[in-house]
Amino acid sequence: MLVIRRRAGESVLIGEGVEITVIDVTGSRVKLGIDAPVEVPILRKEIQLAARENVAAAEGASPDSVAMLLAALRARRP
Amino acid sequence: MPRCHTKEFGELEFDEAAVVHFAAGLPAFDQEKRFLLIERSETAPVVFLQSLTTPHLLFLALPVRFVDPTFRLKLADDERAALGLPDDAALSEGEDLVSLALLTIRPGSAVTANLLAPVVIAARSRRALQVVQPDSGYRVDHQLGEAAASCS
Repeated sequence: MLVIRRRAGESVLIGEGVEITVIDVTGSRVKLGIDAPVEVPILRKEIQLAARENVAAAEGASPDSVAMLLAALRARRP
Repeated sequence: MPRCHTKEFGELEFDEAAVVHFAAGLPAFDQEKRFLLIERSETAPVVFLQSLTTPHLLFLALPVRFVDPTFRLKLADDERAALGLPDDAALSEGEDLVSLALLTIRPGSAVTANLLAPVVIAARSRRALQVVQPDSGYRVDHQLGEAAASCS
């Protein structure tokens, strides 16, 4: 992983047309400004994680899985 | 009473009071705004979120406190506003809001619960939001029984 130190007001350029600017740093939080072409999706990583997990959760929810789940819960709490 | 098709329970008659509204949908399901919250004694503590727009879309869920009794929910100001909750008042789990961990069942592996992004339902307004908990250390795939195992 490339590691770069930046201060508030400084930027990083990625490829053609993506610019990430550090707007503000307060405590442990960094405020970023992102300029990118509209076709470049920008997502907080945890939202992407949640989206993938939601898809997996929806796929796994079947009548069989409900029975399996209830059996697993009963095994957990005898 | 309105009726809907469900994945698990066939056709179901439902009470409008059991409908929860996700104004923003859920991540990966942006267009799914209305779900039926189904709680049945024979499947307790598991509850179901059945989409009212897509009959085959169903989520299984457990109350977060059942998954992890020490779970603490953090809501940002905009999240409180989206749920129609007062700004400063202390909120009581189970009374003002219900937090559910969506469950994932993968063939051949343990059931996991999404504690990173619980579904939070405001009890009075019936507004709901899947709230990502950044910096919380919670996992998107918390293994059921994990906490109990580490305590023994």
